[in-house]
Amino acid sequence: MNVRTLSVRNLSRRPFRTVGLITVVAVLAFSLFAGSLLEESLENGAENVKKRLGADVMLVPKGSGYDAEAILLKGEPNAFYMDKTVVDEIVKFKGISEVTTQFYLTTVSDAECCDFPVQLISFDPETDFTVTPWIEASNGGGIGHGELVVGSAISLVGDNQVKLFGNEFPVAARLGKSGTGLDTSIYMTQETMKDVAKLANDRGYPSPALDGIDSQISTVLIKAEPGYDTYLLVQDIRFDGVNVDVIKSTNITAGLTQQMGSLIGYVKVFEVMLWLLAVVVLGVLFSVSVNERKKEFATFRMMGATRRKLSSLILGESSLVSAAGALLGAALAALFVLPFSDSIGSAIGLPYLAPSLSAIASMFVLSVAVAFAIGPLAAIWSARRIGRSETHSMFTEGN
Amino acid sequence: MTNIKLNIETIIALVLVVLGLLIAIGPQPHIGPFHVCEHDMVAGIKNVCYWTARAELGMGAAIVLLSVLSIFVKSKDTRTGLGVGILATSVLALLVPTVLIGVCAGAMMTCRTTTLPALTAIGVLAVVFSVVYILQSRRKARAA
Amino acid sequence: MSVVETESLTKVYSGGVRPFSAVSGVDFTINEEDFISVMGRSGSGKSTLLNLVAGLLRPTSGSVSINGRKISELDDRSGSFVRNSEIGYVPQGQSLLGNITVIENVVLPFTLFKRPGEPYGRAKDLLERVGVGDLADSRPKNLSGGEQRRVSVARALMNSPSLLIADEPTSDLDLETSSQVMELFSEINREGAAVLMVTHEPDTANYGNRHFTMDAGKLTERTA
Repeated sequence: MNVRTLSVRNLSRRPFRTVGLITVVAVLAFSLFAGSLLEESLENGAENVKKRLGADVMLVPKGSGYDAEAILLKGEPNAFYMDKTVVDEIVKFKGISEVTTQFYLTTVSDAECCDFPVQLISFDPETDFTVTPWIEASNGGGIGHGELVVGSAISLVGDNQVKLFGNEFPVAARLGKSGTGLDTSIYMTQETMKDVAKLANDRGYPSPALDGIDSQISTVLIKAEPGYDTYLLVQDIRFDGVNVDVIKSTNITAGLTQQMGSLIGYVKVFEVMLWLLAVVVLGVLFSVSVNERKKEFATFRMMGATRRKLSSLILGESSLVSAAGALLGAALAALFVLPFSDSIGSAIGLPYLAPSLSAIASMFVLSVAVAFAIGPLAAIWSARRIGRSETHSMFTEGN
Repeated sequence: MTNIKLNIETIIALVLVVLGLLIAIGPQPHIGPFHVCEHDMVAGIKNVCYWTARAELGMGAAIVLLSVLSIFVKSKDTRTGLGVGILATSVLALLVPTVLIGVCAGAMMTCRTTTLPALTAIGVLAVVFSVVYILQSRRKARAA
Repeated sequence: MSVVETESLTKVYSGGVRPFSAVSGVDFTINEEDFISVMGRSGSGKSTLLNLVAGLLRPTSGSVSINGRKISELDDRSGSFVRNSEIGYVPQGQSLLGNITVIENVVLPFTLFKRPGEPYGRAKDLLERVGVGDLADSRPKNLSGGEQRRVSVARALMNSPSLLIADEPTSDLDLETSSQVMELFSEINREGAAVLMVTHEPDTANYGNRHFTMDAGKLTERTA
């Protein structure tokens, strides 16, 4: 028989009230944890867009800017082309460290490899600086003719192969999950792309690539010199009247951050209001409870309980409630938000990647702690009030 | 109808009935809220998620049946036994889509993005609730 | 050494229109063989006197000593400890905690401070002694008024107090139960604990061996 046993008994004797209180805290803990998971995942995704892009500036045919962003952010396959001679116009600008080109093709949904349309990207191994580092990190080697490098969402068949237009191609490397649109992309050399285009054509999917692949490109990727202000480079390109849309990698992420920012902002405001509401609700309910139990507290006092003991009774009850609610809410959030990461990401339409296990663990602990704090805070006022009032008035009032 | 008291065990049993229904019907093609892929054939062979959905149908039905029975049964020991049965079935319902049978490999397929997480979450809830049910029936048995 | 000794005990309430003396200059002594009954009208200050003696109220002036210690000057923790170990209180009306069993109610005073030993054996004995031993594991709400009163007495005796304070112990009981409870008090008094009882029923008051009247804050002893 001690304060904790008494608290548990008191709480379990009024189940509806106790469940109600726990629910209030649980809702808060749920939104705290789910909110931070959401925020972290969106930030991860945005970071990865920048990393995967690899380049500081991306040039695409005029009018294709939106389509290009759609590829990166949503994994929506798109193809657009411009003349290869654009490169010659570009290389003369100041501040450029490296330049490479890529060629895009899209599959249709029944390309056998996948249940969804896929972005095919060919790159030039001699000048490339975006894909090659990942390939090296992945398998230490390179990519040969007829080999593919696939994003994490592409499914493999047999012994590390991907089926495209009736043919099986070996996979040289499979990239890790990035949460960006590039998870549904397949990379290959230009020679391989020609073979693929021919296969598509034979199957009745006429492809512009067949004719244009040697003279056309889809994008020019530029790496700026370290320290050089990419803004100036972009200005140069624009003023020169080159017929392209310019995409700055920092702009994409800035745009993302803005979109995310308002979403996350709403969530944060909601959470703060919910936290305050929870403190008030619990505070009021405990205050009412303390009033109802004046006689009980008077009896304790007469038995020789110190004022501190009385306070600890109230604090004990509220702490139990908020501990239970905090753990329950955070656990439910983990159960429902984490496994559904992919669905949530595609529903939001922004790059989305669940954070690491250690990050999740620390977010969990933090959410539980903040939610738990509600209990003691809400009860402090009531606890101090009980501790101060003189038993005499408590007792006759209670009668 | 015999006297059914609305106590904690009954409430838990009702929750388990709902969870069992979700497990059984949820993954079913066309009708379930988190159904597996509609085209369930690959080269003339029924694919993985089809079989998972079939298995979950059976296990969900078993959970529903056992939970309903436990509401009407009076003996505390029988209730504990039923609870253990529900727990075992829930564990299976959790393991089938994750480990034992699995779902299609495609990262973007609905069975992987929606069905699998849903069955995982619901399976965990069913396991937790059945454990609580067993503990509660033991507590009642000791007090009696 | 006397169990209780008061010196010019006074309590003034200044909240109302004019200051009101609930207890005014009370001097008296209680020894361990005393069974004191205090009678008086409502508002005469009886309850205030009890609360002052128990150390639950701070006097405006004067002092209260329990077994030689001036409790009016002690801090909350020491005062509570004295109250816990030296005084047993049987309050008016129902005062058992409904969320715990009867025997758990009885051991409560023991658990408020760290003590060696295990209280449940003694609690069971006390319940037997007051005549409700078989109700140890019941909940208070299942007990009659008289049974609850007996449990309160058992609880009050848990720490072997030297003073038992009772506030209107028979006010809500029938005649037969009242006399049973009062017999119990007499027994406890014979065994060596002083009893300080407040009542407005003459039959109950007669059980005492010293009789006092409280009127407008002043305590007077009635001799024979």
